[in-house]
Amino acid sequence: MIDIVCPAGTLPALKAAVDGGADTVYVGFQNETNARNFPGLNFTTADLAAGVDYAHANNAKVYVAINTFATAGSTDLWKQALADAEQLQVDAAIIADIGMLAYSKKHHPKLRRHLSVQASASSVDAINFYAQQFDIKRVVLPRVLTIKEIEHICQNIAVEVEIFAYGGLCIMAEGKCLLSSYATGQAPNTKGVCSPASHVRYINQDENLVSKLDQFTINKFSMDEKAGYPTLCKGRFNANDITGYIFDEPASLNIIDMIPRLLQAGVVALKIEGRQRGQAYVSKVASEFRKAIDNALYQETTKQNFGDLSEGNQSTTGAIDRVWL
Amino acid sequence: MAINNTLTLGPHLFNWPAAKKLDFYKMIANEADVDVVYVGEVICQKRFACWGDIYDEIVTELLSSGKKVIISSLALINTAKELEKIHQYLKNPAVIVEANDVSVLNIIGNNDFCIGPYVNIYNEDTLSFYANLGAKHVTLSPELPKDSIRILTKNKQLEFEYTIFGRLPLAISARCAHARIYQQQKSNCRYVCEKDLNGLPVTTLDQQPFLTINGLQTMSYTYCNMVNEIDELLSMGVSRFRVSPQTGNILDTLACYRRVIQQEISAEEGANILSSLYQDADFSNGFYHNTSGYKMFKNQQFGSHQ
Repeated sequence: MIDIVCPAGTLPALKAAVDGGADTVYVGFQNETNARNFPGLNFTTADLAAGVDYAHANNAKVYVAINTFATAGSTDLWKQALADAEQLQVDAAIIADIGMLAYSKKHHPKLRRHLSVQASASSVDAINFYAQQFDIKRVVLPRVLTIKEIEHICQNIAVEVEIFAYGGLCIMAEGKCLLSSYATGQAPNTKGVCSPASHVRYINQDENLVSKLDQFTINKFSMDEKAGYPTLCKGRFNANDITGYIFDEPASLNIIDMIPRLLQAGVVALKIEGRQRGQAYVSKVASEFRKAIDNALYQETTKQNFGDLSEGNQSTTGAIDRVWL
Repeated sequence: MAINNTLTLGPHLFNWPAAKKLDFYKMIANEADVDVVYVGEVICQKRFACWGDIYDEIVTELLSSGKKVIISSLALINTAKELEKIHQYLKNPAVIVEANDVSVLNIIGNNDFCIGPYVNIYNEDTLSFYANLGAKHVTLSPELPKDSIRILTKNKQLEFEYTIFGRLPLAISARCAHARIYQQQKSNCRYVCEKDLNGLPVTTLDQQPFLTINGLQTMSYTYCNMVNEIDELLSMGVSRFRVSPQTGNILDTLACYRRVIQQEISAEEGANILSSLYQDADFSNGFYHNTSGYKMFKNQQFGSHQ
C-alpha cells in the first residue's frame, strides 16, 4: 500500500484534496516555521483545527511541516508550532532542525516525528543517526537519489520511507543551500523562502523580458518564449564561454514510471510538492498517481494470481533513472 | 597581551593535481604560521582517485611539522564508501575528524570530533545537542548573522570557529554543474574540475559576476573577508579563525590575519594588505551583517559589486 501525501496551502485546498481521495495532506503555519512561507498561504491554528476535524472525519491524515531551522533567540516560535501541532492532534510533524527534534522528543514525545527532506538525510548512516537520536518514524528522502539508492536505503533502515513523486524540485541538497541568502538576504532555511517574490522584478529590455532577483539578472525571454519565475538555480548564465541553464533545465520531477519498483522497495508514501499551487493542480496530480498506484497494485496482484501465466507478462513500466548526474 | 586564539587553514576545496597539492601542503607544513590544518576531500567522492597516496603523506608531513591536523569529511554523503577515509582516520589518535555531514556522527563512536560549517547549527538547542554529543568545537555556518553568533557563543561547553577568508560554500548537489558546463556528465566527467584551480566563475547574462562552480559545489563569487570583524568576533568569544585557501599568496594571507588577531596591526592595515594580495577579488561580509552575502558592509555603508 502506498499513501499519497498532498499539499494544502489553505483550508479549502485541504478539503478539496481530502474530497479528491488524498490519504494525507500536509500543511504549514502562517509564519517562517515552514519552508513555503508565502503571503496569503498557510494555516492559522483555527484553520488547522477545522482541517484536522475534516480530514479525520474522512479517514485522512494531516501532517504539519515545521521544517525550517529555528533562529537563535527566537526558538519559541518553532516550539509553539510544535505545541500547537500536538494539541491539535495532527498525525505527524515534519521537522528538519535537530534542536527542534530534540525539543519535540523531550516535550512532545507523543507527537509523531517525520524527518523533513530539509534535514538532507541522504545516507543509511544519516537516517539511522536521526532515528536513534530522535525517534523519527519516517524519513522524506532528498530528491536526487536514484532508484537503486532508494532501494538500498529501504533495505537498511527501520523507519518508513516517503519520497517526492511530483512537482518542483531543488537542484541543490535541500537544507544546505545558501544561494537565495547570498543574493537577496532571504534564506529558505530560516525564513522559509527562496528567491522571494518581494525581490523579483521583470523588466522589458529591447524585445526581451528580463527576470531579475535583486540586482542579478536570472534570465531573459524573447517574445515567443514562456517566461519563468527567477528561481536562482534555474536561471540562464554564462560560464566558460557557454550560455544556458548551467545547473539544469527547469523541469518537474515525475516518478510515476517507477511506482512498481517503489512498491517493491517498500516505500510507504509518495509526496506531491506544491503547497503554493492551486486546487486543480493538486487534484489532477493526486488522481493520476492514485490511478498509477492502483494499476501497479492490480498488476502485482494479477501477476500473483496468474502464477505461471504471468511470466511473459512484463509488469514493469521501466524504472528509468532520469539521467541528470 | 596574548589573545587566546587559533588560526586554522580550512580544507583545500579545489581539485588541484596531486603533485601541486602535495607541494602546497609541504609549504604549509614548513613555512606557514598556522595552528591547525584541515585535510580532506569535501566536495566529491570521485576526486579521491585524484588524491591517491598523497592524502596520507600530507597528513604525516603536517603532523611532523608540529601542526594539528583535522580530517574533513565530504559535505554530502550518500553511501558508506564515502566514509572510508573517515573510518581509516578514526583509528589514528593523532587526529580528529570534522563532520560535514550528519552521516559521520553515526560512525564516530567515542572518538573526539568537531562539526563543520556544512552541518546546520542555527540555534542554541541544536548547539546544545552537539555539545552534549561531545563536539570539541563547531565551525559556524558562514550564513549566520552576528546576532545569532552572539547568542550561540554563550555556550561555554565548546569552542567556536569562524571563516574569515575565502570563497564561501553556498550549495552542494549530487549533480555536477562543472561537468555539465564542459559538456560531460558526472559519471564520465574526465575530472574537468581540475581545469579551474580557483573555481569556475559564473556571470549573469549581463556579464555580472555572480557565483563560482567547483565540481559539485556552488560557491560565492566574492571572497569573504572578515578582517574588520575580528575584534567583534573575539569579544563574542569566537576563538578559532579559518582561512579557506584560494590561489594566491597563502603564507602572507595567514600572516596578515595572524597579526590582526594578535592586534599587532590594525584591521585597516590588514585590509590594505589583503587588497593588495588579492587585487582582482571582490570582498564581502554581508551574511554577518544580516544582509545579502555578496555585499560588503563598511563603516555603516553597504557596498556592492557591479
